[in-house]
Amino acid sequence: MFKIKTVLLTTVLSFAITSGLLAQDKSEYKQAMGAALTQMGSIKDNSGYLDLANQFQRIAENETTEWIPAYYAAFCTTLYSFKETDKAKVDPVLDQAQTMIDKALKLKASESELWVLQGMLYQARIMVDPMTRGQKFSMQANQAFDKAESLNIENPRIYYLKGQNLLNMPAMFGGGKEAAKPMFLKANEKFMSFKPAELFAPNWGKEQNEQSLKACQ
Amino acid sequence: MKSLLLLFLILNATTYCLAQTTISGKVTDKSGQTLPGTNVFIKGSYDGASCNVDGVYSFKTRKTGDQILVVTMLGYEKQEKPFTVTGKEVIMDIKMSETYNELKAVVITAGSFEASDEKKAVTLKQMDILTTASAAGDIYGALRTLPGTQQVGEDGRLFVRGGESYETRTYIDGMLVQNPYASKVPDIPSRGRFSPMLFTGTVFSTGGYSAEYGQAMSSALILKTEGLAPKTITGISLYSLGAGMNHTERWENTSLAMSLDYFNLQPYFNLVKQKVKWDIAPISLDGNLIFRQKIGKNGLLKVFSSHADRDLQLQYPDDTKPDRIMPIRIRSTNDYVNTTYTTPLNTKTFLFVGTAWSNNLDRKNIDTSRLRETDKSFQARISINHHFTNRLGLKTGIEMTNEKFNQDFFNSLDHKDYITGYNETISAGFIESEYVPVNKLALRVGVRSEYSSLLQKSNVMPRLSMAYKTSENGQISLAYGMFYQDPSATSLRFTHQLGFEQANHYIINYQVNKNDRIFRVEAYYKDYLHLTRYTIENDPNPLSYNNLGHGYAKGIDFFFRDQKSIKNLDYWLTYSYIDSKRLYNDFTQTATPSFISSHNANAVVKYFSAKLSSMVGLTYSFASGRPYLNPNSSNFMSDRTKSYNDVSMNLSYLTNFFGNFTIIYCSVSNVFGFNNIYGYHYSTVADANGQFTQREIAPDAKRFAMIAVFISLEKKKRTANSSITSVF
Repeated sequence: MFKIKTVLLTTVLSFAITSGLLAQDKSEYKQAMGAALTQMGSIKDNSGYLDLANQFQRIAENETTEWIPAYYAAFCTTLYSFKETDKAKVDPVLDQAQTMIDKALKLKASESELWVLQGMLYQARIMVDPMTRGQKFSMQANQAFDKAESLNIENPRIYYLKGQNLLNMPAMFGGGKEAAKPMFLKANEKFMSFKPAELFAPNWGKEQNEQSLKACQ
Repeated sequence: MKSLLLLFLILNATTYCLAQTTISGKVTDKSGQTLPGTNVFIKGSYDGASCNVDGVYSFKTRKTGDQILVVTMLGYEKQEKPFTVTGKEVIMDIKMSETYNELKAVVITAGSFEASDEKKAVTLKQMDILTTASAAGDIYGALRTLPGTQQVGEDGRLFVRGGESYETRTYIDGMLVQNPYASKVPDIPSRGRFSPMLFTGTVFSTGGYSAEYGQAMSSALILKTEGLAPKTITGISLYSLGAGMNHTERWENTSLAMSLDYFNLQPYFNLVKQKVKWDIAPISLDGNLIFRQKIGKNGLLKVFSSHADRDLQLQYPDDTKPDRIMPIRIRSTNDYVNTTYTTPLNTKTFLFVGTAWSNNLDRKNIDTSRLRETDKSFQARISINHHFTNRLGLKTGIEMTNEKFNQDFFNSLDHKDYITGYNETISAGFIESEYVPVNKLALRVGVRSEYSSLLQKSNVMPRLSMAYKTSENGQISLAYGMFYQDPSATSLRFTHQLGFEQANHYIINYQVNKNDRIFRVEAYYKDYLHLTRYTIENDPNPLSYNNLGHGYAKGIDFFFRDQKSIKNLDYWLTYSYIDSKRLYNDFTQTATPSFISSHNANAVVKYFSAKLSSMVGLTYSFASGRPYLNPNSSNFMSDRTKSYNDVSMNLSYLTNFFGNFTIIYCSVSNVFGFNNIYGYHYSTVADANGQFTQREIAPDAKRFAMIAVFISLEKKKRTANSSITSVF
């Protein structure tokens, strides 16, 4: 009985938190974040990511103690870069994302998610010129993922992106489907039990990981 | 009453708060181009919007009174515009100005080809040098596929735009390399001493270069080594001609790399017949030691040192006596140490201090005579680079170069020693400013001055260049410069009563770079003044030398590269036309020198197959006939060799060898076996009919083949792994 009560209470509480009802002091922040995050699911074209990044950046400009808006501004900018077809334009976009990550890291250097994002940004840098950049940036990406792992071993996105790194790496360098699969499996396991530590904290990647796992079969 | 007033106020405030004001407008750049994606918002609020595809923004705000509108866009200066919300709709159009952007700003391209992995606007990647088929791993070989260079098959050194090989100088991290090539063997091409794997950036300048570089009339090859080595790694190289090992150790702020290579061509020469009779096939031992130390937050100390030993002996025709051959043995030792230190003095100023020390010893036995040649040089340089703003920079520095050249020739005919040499110290200073007033326009103005203690003369050399962006992808670049250089050792060791030789460069360049396709065309005119003349080579009489020579070179170079049209295929095509004549050395009249072919063309093709983990490279080189001096003809330098053709191929296969990343590489030159003739030697004595006997200068063997296996061993778990670049 007690258990049921607790469960109920937590559900209600978390619902209340996510809908931003409980908190009154930061209601504007929560409303803005909630609205922006809702939009994230319904982005139609690539420029939508840039608009959304702008939105998060506006929030970040105001909330000088929150790392999360800066995280999402960088995240959206990086996602945007993945689909940018003009290779010459990718680096300046990623430079922009990097300034947002730097900003967020200043607020919370011990945040595993920020290091995951940092690694993802390095992966994006590889795309500009895989032949010459592959070695340097895949190493830097892995260093960032290792750092993220040291801060929170339960973060599933670390293993998902590490798996991606391996999947994109030619077999003779130690990559390929077989090398990547155990990483995706590990990520899958972690996704099962993962709960974001704070409101609006990153909670993406589960579906993408499942897709990647399928690709490895 | 009081409470009523309060209520009124509250009500009023509430309605005021609820009233939203629309803020809208259009954001454009200076030229009126709309800027979609611009972030527009009110400072200190969440109210804002992004511009749509038409550059229009619109949002509502509840704020009132004096506010600040913030406008940000990638690549443009952030703007903050104060305005007042009175309740009426606000319309504000905004004009944005571009920020200085290294990637967007125009780069001066006149006279230079740059290979870099870090910068974007380059024509080549460092890897391209490694994978060019005809280069066979030689930097200079790869550069010979670029326009403006000559195919001088029997020499191997770079001849750029009508210039002799000594007119091209090589620099590592800004410091001079006195002997960049392996010591010269008659009629056998020299290779560069340094492996292209050592460098992360290459600037090959075919003219009009910066005031930083002096004592080079034609060309500067500027090589940049990497900083701290990325990781600990061990490599093994097995060649059909030898073997090598390298190891790199990386600590937090320090790295040390060592490599050792041994080559012996004897087994290969046993297998493949050579025209030359080799008594001792070339043997060499090369070692490198590369140390890096991070000092403070951004300071870096680099030490690069190399040692090389070579030995060979061949039988060479004695042109003074018919049908006689004589042994020539060449033993050489070269040491080179290059130390540089760079550190920021503050956020805008950088300090560079560098030294280069070089010691080259060649011992040659020619028949029964002996020649001992030492060339020692030392260079020190200090320079400061200051950025007043992003758009205006100034670089200034001083430099001292000392060269001691000594030749001891023991002539077995008269049993006498002939000792010649010189000791030259050149002091130099330069100052150069780079100014980018707008991203479209870049200017570089510099001046260099030198004083030679040997010639007791000084010079002043202005250098000017600029680039202007004519469209989003096209640009025009211009360069002008004066270049002075000491006469070559051939004359300086007999006389000091000479002046600087001089070349003036005028260059115009047009380049389009779009979607992984580059087209560039460059026209140039070069004026040569005060070239050294003498009556006979090696004349010990100082009075037979003068500075009255002159010449010119003019031409046009084309370069086209396409990495886009066919997936995984990358190719470049070049064509150069040159017209050059000079009166110098022992020329009796103005003529085109023997190292010049009027038409040069190259096609370099590379195909990468990820499926097969292989890369195939193909190079075709063409050069029209070169002039040669025929003593049987009454016309000076009017004979031409037949044209030169070569098709070279290479293949790299990437694989795993017991879990270690491995590259198997093979290359073959002159696949189709063209009979190339570089020129002719003539006997010095006429036969009974008064004719001089002719002898071909041709490659030692028609083809040259090489197989190599590179294995890289890594101690740590293989997560990051190496790519092709680390092992080649």
